[in-house]
Amino acid sequence: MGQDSVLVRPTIRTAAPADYDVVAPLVDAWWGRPILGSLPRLFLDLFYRTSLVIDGSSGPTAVLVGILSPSDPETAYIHFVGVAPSHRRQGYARLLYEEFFGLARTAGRTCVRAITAPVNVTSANFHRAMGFAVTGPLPGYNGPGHDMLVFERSL
Amino acid sequence: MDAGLTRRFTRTKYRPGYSIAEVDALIEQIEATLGLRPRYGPPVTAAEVAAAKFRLVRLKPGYEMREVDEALDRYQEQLQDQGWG
Repeated sequence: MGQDSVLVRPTIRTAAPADYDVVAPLVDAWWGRPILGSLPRLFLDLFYRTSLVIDGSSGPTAVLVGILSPSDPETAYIHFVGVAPSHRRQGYARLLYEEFFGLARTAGRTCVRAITAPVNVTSANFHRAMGFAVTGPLPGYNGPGHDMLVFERSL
Repeated sequence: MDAGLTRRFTRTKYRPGYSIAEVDALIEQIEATLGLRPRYGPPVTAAEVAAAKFRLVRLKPGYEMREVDEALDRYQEQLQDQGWG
């Protein structure tokens, strides 16, 4: 870029299964800790139509993996969000969430949920800023020893 | 702007950094909310800090992004501890 940047709204596109091979090697660095185990290939193979990507000049810079529950017709779920460190605090996560909210509303969903580990204070605060109610930590939510914060928001 | 703020983070130049003015403004607001300096404006919540955006600068000096992010993580915990969740 030839000059200092302004906060420009990036283009959001629907994910494709092939994004997995590009995104998978990046997500641990994006999160600053091992997280790839939470993002097996099946999520982009089977839920790519409800997942979103923001591309930078050399590949994806932000990803949201979302699901419209096939079992609960009211509920959508955000499973994973990652933003490249070089693009933090540009509003990308907010844009991805808002795009997913719209997608979910269009599909008739009235509720969106997400979870995170209690250690992830910034994530909990971000979800509050996005209008989620935060519950927990709920002991053993994901099995023994795996307490979780649960986020829920009406659409 | 007081000297304490301007010495807070490593400066960047010719690589991306957060806008010094925008970061300093938010931190002043946070520290005022925490009672560390006089408060003249509204308080800021931890949720607002988590969602705060900054302009990226490359040609002008900026602040090292990782250092700012880590500091804001710590500030969020302090704000929550004081009931500014």
